Amino acid sequence: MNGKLAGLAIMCFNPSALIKGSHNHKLKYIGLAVPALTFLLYFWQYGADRLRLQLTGNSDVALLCLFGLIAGPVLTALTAAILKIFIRQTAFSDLVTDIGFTFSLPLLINLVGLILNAIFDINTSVIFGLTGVLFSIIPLFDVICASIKTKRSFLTALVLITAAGAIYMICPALIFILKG
Amino acid sequence: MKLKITKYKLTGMLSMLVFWLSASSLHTRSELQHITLMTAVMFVACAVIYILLSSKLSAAGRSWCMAAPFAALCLIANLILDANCVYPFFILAVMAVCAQRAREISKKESHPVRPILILAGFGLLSIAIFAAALLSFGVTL
Repeated sequence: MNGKLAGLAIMCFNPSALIKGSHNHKLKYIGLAVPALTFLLYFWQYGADRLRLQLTGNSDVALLCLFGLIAGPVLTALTAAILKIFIRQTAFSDLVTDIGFTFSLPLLINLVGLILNAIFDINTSVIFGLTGVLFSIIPLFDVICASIKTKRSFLTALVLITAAGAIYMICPALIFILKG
Repeated sequence: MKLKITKYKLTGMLSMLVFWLSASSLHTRSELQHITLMTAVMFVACAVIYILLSSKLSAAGRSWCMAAPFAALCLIANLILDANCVYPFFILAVMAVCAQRAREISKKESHPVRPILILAGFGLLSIAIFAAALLSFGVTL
């Protein structure tokens, strides 16, 4: 049990450990739960902000939360699929797990944001929600650098994290626009 | 002392330029005098932050590259999504640059705690300067 918890903690703070081979715990696909919760909290904060401005109702906030729960794993899988085109040597399941665990700190940031949102009645969807979600591309850079072993790995990783950040930003924006 | 401009430092300069222009364009509907003053204050803030962070980066300034993705995302958010926000991208850019430099320091130096703490302090100072400049013009974070 302690070993499993230690493995989970290592993956949360150093998601590239799986690819680097220093940690080979069986955590495949558990990583998908982390982005699911992160996006759930992000969408919840967005809904709460809109509810405060009286732009939406309670049922819409619940629907947004459901969208967030689905959007997290879907966007993670989408990012992993795009990265797989450039990173041939890493297994798809390892990429999904690693990308999922890059959302560990964003999950914490979003949780703090939601608590502050509820206690102090302030808008937190941008400063905690968006910042939290985009924070995940900093550890993602490490994951990509560990996966690509070529000379241009630094530049490739920069381009790929920009693409990943754009996906994390544009897809929720589209959902928000469609939801009105 | 010879001032050496590398492609990495140039990337950092361009990123700061993006943040400056994005922050300056937040109040485009107000009076010309207000816009001019805000643009000037944001320019000074961005220049101070650039010099402040450059003094703690390596000679080549490779860590500056980490600011580029966030500058690009800032452009996407403001030009395409019309999000009208700069602050999250700036915080993340400073954090990414400092994290990358901290990684370099921890690999090279045997006692990395002190330089990393100083670097974190400079990062926090940069974020505070940017926030103060924005808040002084009534921009909500």
